[in-house]
Amino acid sequence: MSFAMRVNFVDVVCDNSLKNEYINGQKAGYSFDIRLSYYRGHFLSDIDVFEVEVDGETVKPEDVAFCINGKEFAVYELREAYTEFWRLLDPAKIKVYHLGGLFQGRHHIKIKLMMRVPYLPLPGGVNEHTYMPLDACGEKTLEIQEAGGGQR
Amino acid sequence: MSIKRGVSLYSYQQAYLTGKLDLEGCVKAAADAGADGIELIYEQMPLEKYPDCIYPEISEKGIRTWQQLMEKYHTNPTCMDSFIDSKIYKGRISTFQEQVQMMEQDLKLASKLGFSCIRVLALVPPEVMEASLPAAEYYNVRMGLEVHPRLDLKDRWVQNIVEIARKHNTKYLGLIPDFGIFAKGLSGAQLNYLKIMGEKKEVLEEIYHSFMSDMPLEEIMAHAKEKGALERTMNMLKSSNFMSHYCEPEALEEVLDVVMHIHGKFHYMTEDYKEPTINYKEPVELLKRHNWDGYISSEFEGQRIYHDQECPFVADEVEQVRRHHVMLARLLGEQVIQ
Repeated sequence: MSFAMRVNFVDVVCDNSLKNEYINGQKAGYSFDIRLSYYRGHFLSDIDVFEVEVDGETVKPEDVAFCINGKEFAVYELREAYTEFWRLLDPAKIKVYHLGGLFQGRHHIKIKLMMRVPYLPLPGGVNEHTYMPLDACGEKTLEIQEAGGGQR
Repeated sequence: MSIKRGVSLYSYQQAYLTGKLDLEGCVKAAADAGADGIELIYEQMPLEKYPDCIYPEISEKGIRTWQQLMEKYHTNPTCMDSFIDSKIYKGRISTFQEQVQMMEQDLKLASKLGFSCIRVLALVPPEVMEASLPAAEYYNVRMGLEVHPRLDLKDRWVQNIVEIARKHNTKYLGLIPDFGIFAKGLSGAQLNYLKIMGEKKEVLEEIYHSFMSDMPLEEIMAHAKEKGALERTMNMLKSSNFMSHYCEPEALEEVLDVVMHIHGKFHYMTEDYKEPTINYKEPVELLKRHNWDGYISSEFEGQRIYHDQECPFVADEVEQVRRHHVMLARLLGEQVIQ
């Protein structure tokens, strides 16, 4: 990847957002929030690459759900989600299916999120499909929050 | 007929994103600066969210919220920004008809919110704008092509729009020049950034004066190198010629009949109310001389330069816009209240 635009006003991985998710009282996985690192909201179809790495391990895409606007999207569905608008102020919740959840303590979350600036064809690009790439990646170490405690 | 002062809320993007100002706070900041016109990027600061309406839809309640905001601060909607996302589909460029539909969608939203024009981004094809004319008339919202560096008023791309507008003899198509076309060299924000990062004052002063006196970039770089400029200064100089493309203010005169709104781009306002690298004086004088009627909408864009470069400085967007309006008011010959 050569040059990519970066608009770095806020942290991508949100503080205090990591918690275990329960199904029928069993830890079925975990979730955390991410924000869009840009100056203008995006439709989810502008996402070219979305990958999650936790504690150095890449999470399989089929175990990841990307949640906004009351809906959950599988990673492969993002490219078709051209009516789903991600507002700048509203974090997306990322859910990871992982039986047993995460142990109490600190975990390093790394997000690879590459998007297109969908109105900005690059003059002198390789072809008409070359648009300005947007680097909206981020990483942070979060402490897992007690279930039921902290934020919703 | 008069020149009025507005603010694009884009100017407050950092405060908005970090939660220091909400939409109302941004409108208030603009009003406090003495502006009575508000320009909005709807996708940046939408009025509603899930589970209410999600962009591009808006409900009556959302419209009412906006109207109340305008009433409360005695401001008017001036211009809404229209991007035409030609690549929202991963594998293909949106078709011509799809792009026209996006334009119609923006015209409709602008009309519901009371904006009299939309600013269409510089790279939107002229034929998409021409085909959107019936919708613009229907919604009674004008479409202005942004004229932004490195485009200039005389470029073929821009002249196309002028010709189409005159051919149809319509007020619904025209131009929205951005004061960035009257800028020379490194921006005030870049110079400020380099100063903070430890560049020598004499190096920066020489760079500034050399650009103002139209010295060729190669010479400016040679002088800077001789004086021992930092590597980051040299890199910034090297990339400066990509966007920098000074347009003579007189070029405005020939297209003034189709100019519906103006973007007051600025990067850095000094304590004594000067934008050091953008020529405001001559274009504003020209507009006054021709009794141009419309808004100059401040657009502060000097906040991002400091990011990602280990630079601790945070631009004060509210203060920068305030200073910009003191400058504009003085240039317009208004009674200045500070």
